[in-house]
Amino acid sequence: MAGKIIADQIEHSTAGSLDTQYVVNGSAKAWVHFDAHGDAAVSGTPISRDSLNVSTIGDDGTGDYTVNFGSNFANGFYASSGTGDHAQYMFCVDPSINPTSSAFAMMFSYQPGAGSDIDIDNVSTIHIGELA
Amino acid sequence: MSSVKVDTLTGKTTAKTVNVTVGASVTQSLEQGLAKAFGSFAQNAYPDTGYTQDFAGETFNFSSITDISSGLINSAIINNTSATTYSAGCHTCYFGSTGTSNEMDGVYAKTTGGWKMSNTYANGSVRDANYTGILLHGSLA
Repeated sequence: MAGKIIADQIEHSTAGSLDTQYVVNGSAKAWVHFDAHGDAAVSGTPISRDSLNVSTIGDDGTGDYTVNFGSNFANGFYASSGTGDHAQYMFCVDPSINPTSSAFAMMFSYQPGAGSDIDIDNVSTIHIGELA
Repeated sequence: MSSVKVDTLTGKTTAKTVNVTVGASVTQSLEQGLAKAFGSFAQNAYPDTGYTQDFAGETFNFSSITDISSGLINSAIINNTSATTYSAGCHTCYFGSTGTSNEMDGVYAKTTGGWKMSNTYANGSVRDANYTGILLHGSLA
């Protein structure tokens, strides 16, 4: 490591100051972009295109995926958001699998039936919370 | 309280790599964790919030967020991303005659300079939302 600064606040000469707690707590701890449909190399199996702190993406069935984190969260109560490119299908937390410190399960469902999920491309998820 | 007064944080080895301790001992790239753009947009007026039709609220790194057509929004960012594999998240909210509902947001037509979003409801048709929140994570060029 080249060096380390321990500080409670960062101050810019003109733009103001920021408590470093906002840097730590406000930064996304994990995010990913993956494709699971329509690409020549993809056939329902999610492939990560770019990510931060995501080790693997599990294929839980059509339209259902699990993001596995490289470094675990402190608990399962982090905040998550996501979207995909098929406008008729909604991103949601998999109701049968609670988020854990190490993984987040999602599904893309067509309202109102959860039984008609579909594989999606251009999936983006973002996870913000405290790491262990 | 200790305070660091600087205008720019630059990594010693790699310019954009400044690590931050984010867990008990886990460190993470500050640059990778920061949102590179955020914004909010109302295609329809958002009651009691000050959002009028086709109004963009507070934004960061967006040059424009515009109404393309019913239910469709275009965004353009000021500093481009390095690739189209960034994580672009959006959520929408719609106020109808029967109350408020979350719609089914979709991101499409991604380029390094922006992307489009759609607001679709249950029968697959698009319609103007009263609020769309937008986040971008990934690397800039």
